[in-house]
Amino acid sequence: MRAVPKRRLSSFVVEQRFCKSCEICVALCPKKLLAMENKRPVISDPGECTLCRICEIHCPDLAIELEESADE
Amino acid sequence: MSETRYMQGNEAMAEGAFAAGARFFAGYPITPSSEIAEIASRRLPAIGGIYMQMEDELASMAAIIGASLAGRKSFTATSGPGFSLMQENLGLAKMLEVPCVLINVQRSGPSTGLATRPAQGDVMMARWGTHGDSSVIVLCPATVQDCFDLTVRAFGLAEKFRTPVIVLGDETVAHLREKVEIPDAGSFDVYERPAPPADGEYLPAGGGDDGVSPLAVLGGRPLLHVTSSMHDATGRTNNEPANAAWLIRRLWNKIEKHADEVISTRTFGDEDAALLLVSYGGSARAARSALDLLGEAGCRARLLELLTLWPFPAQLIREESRNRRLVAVPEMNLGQLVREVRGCSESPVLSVCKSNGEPLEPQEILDGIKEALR
Amino acid sequence: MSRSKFLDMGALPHFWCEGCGNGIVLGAIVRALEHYGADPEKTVVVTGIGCTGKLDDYVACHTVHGTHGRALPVATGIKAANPDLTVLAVLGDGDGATIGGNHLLHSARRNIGVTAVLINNFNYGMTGGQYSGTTPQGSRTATSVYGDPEPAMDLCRVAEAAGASYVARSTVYHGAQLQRFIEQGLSKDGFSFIEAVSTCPTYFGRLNRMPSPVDMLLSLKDRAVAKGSGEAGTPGIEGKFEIGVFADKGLDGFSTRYADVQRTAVAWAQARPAVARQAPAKGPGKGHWEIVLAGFGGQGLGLAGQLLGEAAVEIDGRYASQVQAYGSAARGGFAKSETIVSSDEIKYPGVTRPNLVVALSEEAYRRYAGRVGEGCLLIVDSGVVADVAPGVRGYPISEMAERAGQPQSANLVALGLLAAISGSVSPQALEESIRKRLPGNRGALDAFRSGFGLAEGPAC
Repeated sequence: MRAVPKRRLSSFVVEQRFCKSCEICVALCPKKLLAMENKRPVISDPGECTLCRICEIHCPDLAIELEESADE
Repeated sequence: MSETRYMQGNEAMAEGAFAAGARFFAGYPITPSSEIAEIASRRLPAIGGIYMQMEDELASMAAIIGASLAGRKSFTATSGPGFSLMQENLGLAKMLEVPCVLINVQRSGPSTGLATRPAQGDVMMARWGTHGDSSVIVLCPATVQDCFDLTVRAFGLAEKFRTPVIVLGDETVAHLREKVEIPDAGSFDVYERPAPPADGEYLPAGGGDDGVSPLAVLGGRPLLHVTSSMHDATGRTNNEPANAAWLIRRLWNKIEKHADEVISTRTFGDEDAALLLVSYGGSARAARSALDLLGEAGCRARLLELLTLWPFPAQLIREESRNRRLVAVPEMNLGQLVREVRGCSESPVLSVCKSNGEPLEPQEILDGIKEALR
Repeated sequence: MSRSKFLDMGALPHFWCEGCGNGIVLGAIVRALEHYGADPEKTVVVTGIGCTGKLDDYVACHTVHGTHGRALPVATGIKAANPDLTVLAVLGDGDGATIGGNHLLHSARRNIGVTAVLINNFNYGMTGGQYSGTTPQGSRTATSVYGDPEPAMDLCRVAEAAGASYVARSTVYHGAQLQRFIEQGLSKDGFSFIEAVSTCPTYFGRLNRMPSPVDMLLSLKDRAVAKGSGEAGTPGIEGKFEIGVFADKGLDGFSTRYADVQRTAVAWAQARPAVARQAPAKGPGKGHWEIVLAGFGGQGLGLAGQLLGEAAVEIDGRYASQVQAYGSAARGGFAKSETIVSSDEIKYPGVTRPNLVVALSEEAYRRYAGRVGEGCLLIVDSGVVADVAPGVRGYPISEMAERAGQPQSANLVALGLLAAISGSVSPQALEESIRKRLPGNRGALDAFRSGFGLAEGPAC
């Protein structure tokens, strides 16, 4: 059986100019990885991110952009 | 080359539209313009065109704006009550600068009034019916030939000035049958919409102080952004007072400062006659006969027939009104165009009004003038 | 990758409030368009007025921002004019369902191939949070501080009942599902209606005890239930409502059906024999005739007048004009048709000095009896008026029509009669005119000829 490469979060970027600090991303993250710092969300443990993209999809300001890469 | 036909005014307006290249009609049936919708519903699908019967006149005006932006020459037809409903989206067409033609066949009002009977009570409404400052082009047929020719002209002016153009008919001319020469297709000029360059900076709402920008087509390049909100030359919303002053003024100037390219009139009778009649539409036909009656009564008269009501030909009327004993304005309303004539006439002005749902007759014009000259 | 080429990054940050659901719907729309494979040059987003109406500012394709409530008919005109375009109408609950309600019904009914995304945040946000047609009864809004007295409408049921081919509802809490529904909607031929239940924390939320964007969003999670659970009602702030696809009927869109209309119209035009029109030749008719045909509505007076004018102008090369007047009844009231035939251009087309009146009813006779002697010849159908005044000529017009087996053709008998008496238009031109307008109608020609022949005989 071939191993499936694990996808991982390679970057979590918040466009500071767009974010209006509504905290929806913080509330919706299923793994509670986000918290507000200086009115902007930051991710505590990127390795735990499952790339569900719920934060990205539900950011009303389109401020969040995730990039993923596959482990070799 | 042309074909000699005996045709109804409404039919001639519809045929004029098709001859000018109109391939989209959206409307709602209303007396006395319903024949136009019926003819459009039969003729358009046979020539690659589309007829849509919308749920009301608000939707009709909106749909012809959409169709024009998508590249089809488009028109609608209505009468007073429908014309009232169209005002907001007529203003939208002015603000978005969308070429389209609105035929209003006037009937006796106010409100439902006499649906089948004539009047000329929408003259001021055609000019000022939309809120805010704006200009508009309004053409007025007096004959069935005019119904054809002016409708063709309306489409050309709409494209040239990127504006809605109103063809303001009345029930007498719309339901009149008479001789008309229909020119063969291709034998006359039709003004086609200029295209903007596909690449480079595109300013959809540009045009300097009194001009227009070419209109991009939805579905092509460049991308078109139009908005009913105050906007700048890029077409995007702009709330700055200086920009508002510029746009409001440009929309006004693009027609008002080019009135001489739009105004069209016809004259009958001697230049130096003591009496001048200024008339339009169905009333002008009565005025033509009234010239003969006046002549028989020993009073030489001249008739200035307006084929363009707006922009109002003030300078022309100022000149024509010089050295006259009287300037009479016969119309089928309680005196609408006469207000404009009073504003520029250099001789005394008489209003000859009729507003009872019956066509104005030549004898009534004679009687009105005789009464005033006593 | 959340962003798409349909998002105009240069236009952000958007102007909507913090936590406004509109931004989530914007994201769903631009990702749906991208994933669907739409081409920005062939895509048009149409909006109206309101907070939702500002969505056009943020998309990178063609955009049209119109008047309040009228995005759907503008979108209709665009799509009908060019069915190859992808047309998306983005509506608020005011724009799309209240002021625009009628257009929602008819867009659904005619299944215009537009995808409508209606953002329902239960109030008119832009103008300060007044209630709309979807505001739940009892809610507090800027114009219902005592509680909204009006119930809300279930737009998905309305759209489905009106005939929409694809109807779905999701919420801004269910962003991935919302995107998927929009994408499905884009792929349909008919009208697609997707309701996105959304949040307005600044007005509706604050006035109804949900001022935090997070609270308002999370409230949707529990109240939105999958379709079919049976316990749901109209979307509101208490109780459950269904999300899911309510209709997916695969109906043809307007443009598909109109293409059939065009094919039929072309086929009919090709099947019709071409009307051979020759240039008019100067016919023998003469004189200036002002002719009145009077009777009652339904007698075909207008047709007779039209035939006379067509013969005069199109064949005999003369001038003619015709006006008509009817009472309001389609049948039965007094009616007349006035035709002028002349060698000169006609100035005033109404009859002012009639020289020939044909009366086909008693009332018509009474109205014109006083005109005899003003250079006016009055002819009457002796079948309707027995005792005629001196100077009036009676002819058995309706009797001739009955005898010809065409009782409804008294108008054509009258036409023949007046043609013979006036000499205004040649009988050949009139017969050709009748053949053109009433092809294959032998009875019409017979009636005309019998009327023409009446003139040679004695009047009654």
